[in-house]
Amino acid sequence: MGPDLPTASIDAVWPRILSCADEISLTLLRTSFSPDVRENFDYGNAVYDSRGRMLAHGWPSATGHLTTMGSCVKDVLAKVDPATLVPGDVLIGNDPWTGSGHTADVFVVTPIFRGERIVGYTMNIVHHLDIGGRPNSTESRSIYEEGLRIPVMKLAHGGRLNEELIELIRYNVRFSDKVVGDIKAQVGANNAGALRFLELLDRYGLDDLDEIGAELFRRTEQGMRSAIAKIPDGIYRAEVDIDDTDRAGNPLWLRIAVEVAGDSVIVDFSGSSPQVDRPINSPLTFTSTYAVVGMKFVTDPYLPFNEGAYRPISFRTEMGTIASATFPAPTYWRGGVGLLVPDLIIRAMSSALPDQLPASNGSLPVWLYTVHGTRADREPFLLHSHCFGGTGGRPTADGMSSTGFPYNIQDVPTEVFENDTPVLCVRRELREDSGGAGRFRGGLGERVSLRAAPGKVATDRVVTVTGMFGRTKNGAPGVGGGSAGATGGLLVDGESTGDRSYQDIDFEHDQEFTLLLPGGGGFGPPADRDPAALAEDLRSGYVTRERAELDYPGVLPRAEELLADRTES
Amino acid sequence: MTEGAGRQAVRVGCDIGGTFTDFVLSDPATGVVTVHKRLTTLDEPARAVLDGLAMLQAQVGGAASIAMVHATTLVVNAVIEAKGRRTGLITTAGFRDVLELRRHMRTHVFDIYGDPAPPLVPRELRCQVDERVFADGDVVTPLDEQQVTDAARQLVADGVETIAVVFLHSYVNPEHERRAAELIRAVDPDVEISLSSEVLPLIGEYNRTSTTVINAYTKPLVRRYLTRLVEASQAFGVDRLHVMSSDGGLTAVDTAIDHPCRMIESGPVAGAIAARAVASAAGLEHVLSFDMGGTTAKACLVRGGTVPITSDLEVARTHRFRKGSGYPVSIPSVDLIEIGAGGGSIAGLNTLGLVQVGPESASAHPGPACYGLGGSRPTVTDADLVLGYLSPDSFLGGTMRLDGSAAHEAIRAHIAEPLDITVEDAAWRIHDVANEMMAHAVRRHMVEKGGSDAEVTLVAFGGAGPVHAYNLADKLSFREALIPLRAGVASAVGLLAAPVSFHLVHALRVPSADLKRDQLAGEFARLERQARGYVSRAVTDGKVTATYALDVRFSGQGFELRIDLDPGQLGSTAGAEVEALFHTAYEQRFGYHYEDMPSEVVNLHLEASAPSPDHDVLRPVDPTRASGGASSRPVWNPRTREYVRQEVHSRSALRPGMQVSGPAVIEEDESTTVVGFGGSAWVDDHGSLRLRVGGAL
Repeated sequence: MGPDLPTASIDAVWPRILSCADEISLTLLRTSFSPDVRENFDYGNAVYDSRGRMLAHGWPSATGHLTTMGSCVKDVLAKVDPATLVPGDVLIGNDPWTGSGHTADVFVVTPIFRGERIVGYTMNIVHHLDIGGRPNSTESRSIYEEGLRIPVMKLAHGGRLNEELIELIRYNVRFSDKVVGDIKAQVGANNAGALRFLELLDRYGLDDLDEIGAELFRRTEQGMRSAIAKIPDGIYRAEVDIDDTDRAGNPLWLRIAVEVAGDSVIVDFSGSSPQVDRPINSPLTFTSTYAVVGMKFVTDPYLPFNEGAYRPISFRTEMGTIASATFPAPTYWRGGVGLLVPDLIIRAMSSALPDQLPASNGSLPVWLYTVHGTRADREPFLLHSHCFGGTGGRPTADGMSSTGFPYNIQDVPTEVFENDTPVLCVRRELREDSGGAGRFRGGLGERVSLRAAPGKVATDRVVTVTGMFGRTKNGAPGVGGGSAGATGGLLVDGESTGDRSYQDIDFEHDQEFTLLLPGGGGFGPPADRDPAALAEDLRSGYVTRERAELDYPGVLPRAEELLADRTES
Repeated sequence: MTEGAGRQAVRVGCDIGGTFTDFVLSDPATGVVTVHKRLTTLDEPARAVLDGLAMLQAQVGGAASIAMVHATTLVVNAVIEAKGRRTGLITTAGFRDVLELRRHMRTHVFDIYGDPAPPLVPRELRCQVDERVFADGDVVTPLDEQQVTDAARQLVADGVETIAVVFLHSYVNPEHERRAAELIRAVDPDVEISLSSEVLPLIGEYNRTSTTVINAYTKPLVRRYLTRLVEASQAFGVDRLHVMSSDGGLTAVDTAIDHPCRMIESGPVAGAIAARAVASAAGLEHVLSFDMGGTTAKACLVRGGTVPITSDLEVARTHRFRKGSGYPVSIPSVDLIEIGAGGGSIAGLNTLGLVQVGPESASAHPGPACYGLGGSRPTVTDADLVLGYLSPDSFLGGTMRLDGSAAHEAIRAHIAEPLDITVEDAAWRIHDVANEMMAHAVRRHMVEKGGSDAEVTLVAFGGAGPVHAYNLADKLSFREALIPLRAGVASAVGLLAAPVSFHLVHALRVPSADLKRDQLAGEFARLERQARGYVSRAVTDGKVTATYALDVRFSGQGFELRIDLDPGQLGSTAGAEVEALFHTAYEQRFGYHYEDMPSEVVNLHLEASAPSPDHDVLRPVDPTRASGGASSRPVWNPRTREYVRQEVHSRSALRPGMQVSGPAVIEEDESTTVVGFGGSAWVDDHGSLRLRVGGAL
C-alpha cells in the first residue's frame, strides 16, 4: 500500500502501535471526572493483538495496572468466547481477581473488528470516583462492604449501550452522573484507539499485528532474559513488617523469595501472613503486578512492557495470604501490601547485585490522607492529598528528596488545597536529618503541618484526617553499611498520635497537625561520604551539625574546613 | 505597494539560533526581500547581529530608518547552560523548599536515576519571612517588614544581583509582595526584583515560583544584552527594536527587560508564526507547522489562523526530553512540541534491536559523520545523504562539502552490520524511523489539541524540514505539504509577519452559573487597560484590538476548554450564555456533553494586539524571474531497493504554475525538498512549493 511496504519494518510499525495506545490514554485524560485519573494518572490502557496479547500500553499508565493489563484481556476471553462477539460489542468488569485488585478499578475491553474478524483489542482501566459500599474505608471486613462487583459482561452489544446495566450502576454509586460519564469516556477512548489500529493495518497492508507482535514479544522477552541472566543464580529473600496489624494486634509480615535460575525468575510470596478481615489484602493479580515492576527496576527500565516482558517471570505462593488474598477478603487498600513489593525485591536482589541497587524508600507503602470537617457556615469539606518521603541512597548519587516510589504521582499544590478547603497549610518543607546516613545519603522526607484557617472552620467541631501512612515503626533500611532513614510520624501539637499505618486523627480548630515523612535509607558506609557532599548538606541545612557529629564523625572536620574555605573566598 | 510606503521603515527580522543567525530584510517601498545567514557568535550573540546588519547595509545600501524584530535563544540558553545570575528568593515562611519539592515526580517511572532538574536557587539563598495570605485574599499574618529587610541585606551581602519574591496566594492579594519590593529597593536600589504577582498572577505555587525565579535569573543578562543592542544597532539606522515573545506576539524592549521569561521560546515560536503567515497567504485553513533543524524538530498545529496557547511550557528538559526534567515557565506560550529528531540526531539500536533515532544529537560538533569534523556515529543527515536526498556538492549552496563515504561507513558499522542488512536498507530505516517518531509525536500533539488530520497541510521548513516533509506528510495521511520560499530562514520571515501583542491570563475560579452580568466586562476591562499599556509601548500608531476568552470546564474535570467571547456581547454575557457556549464547544470536541453537570470558569484570557506593519512580507513573486536548470542523480527507491536516477531541479528555475512529477529532488541554497514516488509538486504565486502527496499509491 504505502512506500513503507518493502520493509514494513517492525522499526517503523512500533512507534505507530504506541500512537494507538497513546490515543486511548490522552482521550481519557481529557474526558475523565475522576481526580485519580487526572491528578494521579491512576489508570491504564493498552492495545492487544487478535489473541489478546498485550502489544503496548499508553503513557502514562500507572504502575498498579501494568500486569493487570497484561493478563486482563486473556482472562476476559477465557470467560467470554470471542466467537460470540460482534462489531459494536464492548465488555466491562471490575472484579478484583480479574482486574487491578479492588472494586474501584473498572476495566472496559473493546474488540477491534475488520469486517467480521477480530484483529485486536483496546482496553482501559480507570480508578473511579466511587463504586458504592463504604467509601475508601479502612474498616471493611469483607469484599461485600466494598461496593458493586461487576462480572465480565457486555456494556454494549452491536453498538447499543446496555442501559439496564448503566441504570444498575447508577443506583449503586455516589456521584452517579460522573461515574457513568467516566464509563462512557472509557468506551470513547477505546474507540479512538481502535480507529488508529485499523489505520495502521491499512497503511502497511497488514491483516493483523499478530506476526509483528510475536517478533516484538520475542525481542522483549530476550531483552528481559539477558538482563536476568546477568544476575547470579540463587534464592534471594527479604521480608518486611508491614507496620500494621490484624484486629488482634498481631504484626503482619510480607515475605518474598526471588529464585533466579539462568534467564528466568520465580517470585515466591510463601510464608507471608494469612489474609485478614481488614481491607489491606492484596489479590495475586495486584501483588504480581508490583513484582514485575520491581524486576523492571532491577533489570532494564527502558525495555517496553508487553506480553514478552512477563514471560521470564513466574509466581509461586500458597493462597489466602495478605499477598494472595482470596474471595471474599476485603481488598480496598491492597496497596498497603502490594506497594511494598518492588522495594522488597530491590532489597532481596541487593545481595545478588551488591553496589548496583539503591537503599530502601521512605514513603512506603503510600502516604495518602483525606482531611474533612465542617466549615464555619456548617457546610462540610473534604480533600484527598498525597505527601512524600525520600528515596533510598543510590550507587552513584544521594536519594531524591520527597519523591514518590514505586508509583510516580504528583501532589495537590498548597494553593489549590487551600482554595478547596478551609484548612491552612502552615508549612511544607524538607525535613532535615531524615535521610539515612551513607556514602550516598537517603533523600529527605517532607514536613507538612495543617491547622484550621482562622475564622473559616466551625470551632465546635474537630477536623479529621483519615489516612494510610507507613514506615512509622521501622525506618527505610540502608544498604551496604548505610543507615536507616528516619521513621515517619504523626503529631498533634507536637504529641505523637501513635505508630499505626492506618489512623483516623481528630484535631481542634486551634491545634496543629503535623505529618513527618520518612527519609530514604543510606547507601554505603557514612564514613565514606565525600566531605564536599557533607559540606553541601551542612550549608543547605539538609543535615544539622549535631546530627553530622553522630553520623559522620570522621568526615565532619574536613567538611568544616571546606565550608570555612568557601566562606573566606 | 502599501499605503504610506514613503514613511514606512525598512524592516529586518533577525533570529539567533544555536548554529546560525538568520536575517531577512524587507523594504516595503521597493518590495525587495534580502536574506542573509551567518554563524552565531555564542560568546557574544550581539556581535553576529551587528556584523549581519553591516553586511546587509553593504548589500542594499544604508537606510535612514530600520525597524528590527528580534528572536533570541539568550534566555533559554542561560537556563540550559545554568549561566543566569546569582539569584535570591524571598518567600512565605514554611515554603522555602517549593522549588525543591516540585510536584514530587520522577522523570521516568522505572528509572531510579530519573532526577528532576536541580533548583536554580540553592537553599542557602532561599529566605523565608513571616507573612500569610489565605486563598480568599484575607491576611492571616501581617508581613514582617524587618525580616524582609534583613533577608534583602543578607542576599545582597551574598553577592545576589537579582531577587524573586513569591508569597502564597499573591495572585489574589499582591500587597505583601509589593511592600516587599519597596523594602528591598530601600536596601539596594540596583538589585533586580521580580514579583510573582506581576510575572505570573496564577494559582499553583510551584509553577509560579519556577516562572518567577527564571525571570529573576535571566533579567540582568537580558537587560544588559538588549540595552547594548539598542545602542549599538543605532549606527546601522535601527531606531526601533521589537522582541518576539513566547506567545507569538512582539513586545517592546522595555517589556522584554521586565519580563524576560516571556521571551523564552522566542526562536521556536517565530517558526509557528511564519507557518501561520504562509498559510494565510496560501489560503489554507489548517496547517501543521514543522520546523526541523539540526538537533530537534518542532511542530505546532495552527487552525483557522490561530496558534494554540498553553500555560504548561517546560523549558531546558535534560532527561531525553522527558516531562519533569526541565523547569516550568507557565506564561502563555505557543503550544508547540519539540522532538529529539533533527538532522544531527544519532541513530542506533535500542535494547530490542530496533533502530532508534535520537534523542542524542551530534549537534554542530562533531556533527554528522558526513561533515568530516570527527563524528563517527550515523545521523539522520548521513542517511539522507546515502539515500541521495542530499547532494555532497550542493549542501548549503555548495559552501560545505559532505563526505559520502564517511556517512556510508558510519551507517555500515553501527546499523547495517549489526542487523545484517545493506547500508542502503539501513539508511532507509533511519530515515523512515525518524519520520515515524515525528509522526508519533505529532499525532499526540494533534490529539491533545483536539484536531483532525483530514484537512491539514504540512508546512515544512528549517534546514532538514523540506527533506522529510513529503514522507512525513504521507505517514500522517496529509494530502499536501507546503515548502515556503526561503524555507531555511523561515523563522526570521515569521518575525516580520508577527503582530505586536500582549497576552494576560487572570485566575478567576467561579461556577459558570454564578457569573453576573457585567462581571466579565468589568474584569476584562481591567485586564485590557493593562495589556493595551504594554502594546502601546511598542506601537504608537496602528489599531490595537483585543480578544477575550475563558477557560471553562465541567466541575470535577481537570481539563479546560478555551471559549472565545464576542467582544460586542461582553456586557450581556452571564452564566447561562457561558454554559451554552461551553456545551457547544465540548460537543464539538468530544462528540457529547453533559447537560446537567455544572461547569466552572477557571481563567480569563485577554490579548491586545496590533497587526504587523509588513504583514504582506510574503508577497507574490515575480513570475518572470527564473534561473538555473535541471540535472539528475541516483536516489534510493525503497520499494525496488535500488538507486534510480531522478531529476534534480533548481528551485530558482521553477516559476509559479510550473509542475514537477515525483520522484524528484528540488534544491535551493538552504534546503532540499524531496518529492516522493507517486507524488508531484507545483509552484504557487508566492513561490511556495506545494507537494501533492500519494495520489497513485
